[in-house]
Amino acid sequence: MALGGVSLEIRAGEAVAVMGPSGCGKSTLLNMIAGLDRPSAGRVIVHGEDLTGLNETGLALFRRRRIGMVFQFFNLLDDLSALDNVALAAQLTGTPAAQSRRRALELLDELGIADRARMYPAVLSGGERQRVAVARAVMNRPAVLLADEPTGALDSHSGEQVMDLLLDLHQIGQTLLLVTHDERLAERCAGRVIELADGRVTAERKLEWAP
Amino acid sequence: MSVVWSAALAAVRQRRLQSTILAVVVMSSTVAIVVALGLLEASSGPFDRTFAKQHGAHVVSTFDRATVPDALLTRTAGKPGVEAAAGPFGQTVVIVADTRQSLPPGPLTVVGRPGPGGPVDQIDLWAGRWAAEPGEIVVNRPVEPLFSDLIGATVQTQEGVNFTIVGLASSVSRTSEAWVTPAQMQTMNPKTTQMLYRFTKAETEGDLRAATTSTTAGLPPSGVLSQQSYLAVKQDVSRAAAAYLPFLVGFGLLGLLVAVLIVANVIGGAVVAGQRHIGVLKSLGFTPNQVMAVYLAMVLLPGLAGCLVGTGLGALVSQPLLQRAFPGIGSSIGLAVSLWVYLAALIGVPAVVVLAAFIPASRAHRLPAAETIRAGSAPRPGRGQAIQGLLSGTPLPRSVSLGLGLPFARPGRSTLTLAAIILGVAAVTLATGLFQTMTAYGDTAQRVGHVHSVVHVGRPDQTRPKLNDAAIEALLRSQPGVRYVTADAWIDVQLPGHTGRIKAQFLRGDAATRGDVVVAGRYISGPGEVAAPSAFLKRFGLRVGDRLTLALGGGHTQATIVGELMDAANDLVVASWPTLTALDPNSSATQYEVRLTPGADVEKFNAAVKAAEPGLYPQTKSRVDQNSVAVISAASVFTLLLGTVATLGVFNTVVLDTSERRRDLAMLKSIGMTPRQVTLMMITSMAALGAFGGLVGIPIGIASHRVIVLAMLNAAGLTAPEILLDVWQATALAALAVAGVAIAMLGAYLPARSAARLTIAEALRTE
Repeated sequence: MALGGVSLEIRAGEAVAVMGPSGCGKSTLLNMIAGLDRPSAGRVIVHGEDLTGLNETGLALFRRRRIGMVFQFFNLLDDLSALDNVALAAQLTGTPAAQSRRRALELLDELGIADRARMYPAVLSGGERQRVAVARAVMNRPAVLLADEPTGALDSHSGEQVMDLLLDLHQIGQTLLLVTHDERLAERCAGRVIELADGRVTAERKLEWAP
Repeated sequence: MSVVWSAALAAVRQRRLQSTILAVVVMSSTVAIVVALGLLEASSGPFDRTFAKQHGAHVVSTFDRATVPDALLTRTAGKPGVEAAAGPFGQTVVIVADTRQSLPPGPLTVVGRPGPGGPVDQIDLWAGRWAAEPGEIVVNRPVEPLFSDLIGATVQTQEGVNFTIVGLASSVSRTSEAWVTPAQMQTMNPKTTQMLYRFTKAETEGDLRAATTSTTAGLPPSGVLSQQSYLAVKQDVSRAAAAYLPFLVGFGLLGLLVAVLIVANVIGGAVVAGQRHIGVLKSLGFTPNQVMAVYLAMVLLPGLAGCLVGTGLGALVSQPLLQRAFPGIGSSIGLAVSLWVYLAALIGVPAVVVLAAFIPASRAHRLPAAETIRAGSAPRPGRGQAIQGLLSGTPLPRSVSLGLGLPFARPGRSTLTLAAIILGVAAVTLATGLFQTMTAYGDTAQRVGHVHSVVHVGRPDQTRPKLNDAAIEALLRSQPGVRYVTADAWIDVQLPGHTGRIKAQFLRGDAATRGDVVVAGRYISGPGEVAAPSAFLKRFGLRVGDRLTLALGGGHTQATIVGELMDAANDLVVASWPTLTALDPNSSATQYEVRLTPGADVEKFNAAVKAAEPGLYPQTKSRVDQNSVAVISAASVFTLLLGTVATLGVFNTVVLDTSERRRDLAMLKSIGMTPRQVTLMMITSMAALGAFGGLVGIPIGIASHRVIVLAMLNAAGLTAPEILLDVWQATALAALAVAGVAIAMLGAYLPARSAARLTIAEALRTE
């Protein structure tokens, strides 16, 4: 069993970090919340919506409306430019192409990489790729932004930039759930840290200097 | 077990789906190849094999018995260039009386021979025995069980000599129509003598002319009456089979091309997909050559399995097709696919598999281990990015525009898939056209819609009608629902100046309504007019407007050829009834062709006729033409095979794309792409290729149809009327345009559904 009896509440606008050793169930927790994994027993309720009762299409629509995700390895489409990778999230909801691209360019501009908009992932640095991934994640203004080791594949400089970015997003009201090994990232971006071990919550602490 | 073998077996087990696809594709392709090669070989094989088996005569020479004595002819056997000779045999022509008991009435060439064997023309005595006593006769008939009841039948001749048929024999050299004992022949006062020759050099007509000139040198020139070359006989015998050749070549080539393309695509994909595995093997210490051997063995194992099963299935499928395509031809030697066809499939197909695997495997052979291990995990410079960029800005739903761009990410694979779809659509188009053409031809041959019932007059061994010819016609016309009646008399006549007999169909009544298709000139309408099939005109070097003489018994009459008919017969003329009256005033119809009014019941008509005159035998006109059925059957088998192979090619491409794009698909689902959108995207990626394949494949199919049908008609001696060529209708073309999309969507559906069900977290974790 990867997770058991985990119940956590995240208020709108809050930033929470989930930490713990490898294999403790951090990513599984995140995947359950995003509806990427299904529990073998029990229920997952997010934003009042019981995900266990949703079929694949229902889960996809839920993710569109409620969730933005940032992965450790970016998961960008190599065939699409940075701009089109970001616009994709909106286009899947039926937003017209021109409107989606306009909004994507605004986001990239806000994240400081508008000049890289026409570039393809293969020629972007790790930090730039993760910024594009973050832009894509917030494109549909999700209720929760889930980030799974967002700095795990980056050098320290790029990691710092991504941390700043997440902090900025949180400061403008974005609800954030981070999974990380990185104590510095948690301390910098989160107001609360939940410790997991063997699939159970072992500790929860509030950070005094919480943003 | 060697380490290479173990690794290859493990790789096959690990890639069950890929291995299965490969085996099925190779199997289907092998079936197509075996059938195509088998039919190709059979189309020219039966005559050659039968000729070799019977030690056939290169030249059948006929001499005037009064001018050239037998002793002189016997000496020709020893002349230079003569490999073997048989004869001299006495030869005469008798006129079979019209008793309708055994053989058709008319002239019958009879030769006196002591037996079926000998150094030349070893006749296949396939039923009964050879003539041993006076009054016994052996008749030349192809091996066909239906003829068996001729044994024991009596043949009455106008010369007053009666025979009992004691045997049925088949001579591929066509040395005679019947044989009697030499002693019997002596009593018949033969005017001519037959010699059969085999020459040491007999490949061309030139060789045969030179050899016969040398052999008959020294004989009185006026004594040499005729020289029948085996090449002319072969051309005539192979005429029906040769008509199939263009069609078989067309489909055979399509089959081979599609098979090679798909096998190359499947194997190339398997090797590309297994690059990481290659890297792991290298890191374990496998040498580049061992890695390549593993990969070749990995594709060869399922390839061999598919090839073996395909060869067996090909043998099963081709046999009934051959029997249907070549009824009666070569059946005495058994129509079977030759060993070389199986060997070609068993050696050639695995060779193609290995060759197709060799290029990608050698690429993997050169790659450094670290690079192959990394394959798929590092971002790769995307391909088709410009296209994706353009599509991204279109108003199309995003899953559709993403799907449209996918084929450009793997241009090589997409090109091979597209080529297979194009050829698949071309095959479907060609088959559809052939179906229409052969249906139109079959309908014409069987007079579908023109003749509903054929009423035969009872033969002497059946109940004979009490009514005479005119009364029968009146009876038929008086039946309810009868619209037209044509009275026919089938009579064998001779064309003076030409050897052999021809069939004349003399028509009375509503002949113009029986559905003969006139390709030149006009239909018969008055006395002294005949119409003839194109093949007949070609055979005798005649044209519309020429005059010919028809001879029957002692009488003869002149007739003008007024029209050229669409018919494959080269021994038939259709003539007006007064033409028959001029030859034989007492002739009567042997059958009546009846056309009913729309909605009338044929069976009810037949029953009424039978009740009114028990001496009449009405039969509902067949709607099935065997030649058409043969072509349509073979075309259907090929189309099914090629369609399956093309569909499997698409299936394989989507499986590979899905496998390679697991991470992308998972990411798309993670940002809200629904399963339906994933399915739509993957199907669109192939449907676009399918639509393009349809647009290109249809014109190729139409052009192939025209070339093949013209070649088939030419080989069959037919002049092509537009009804056989212009078979394309807008609805059919629209349906064909869908064929490419259908092939693509059919192949893409299952792997696309599988992609839609991909477990996102699992796919992302594997990264």
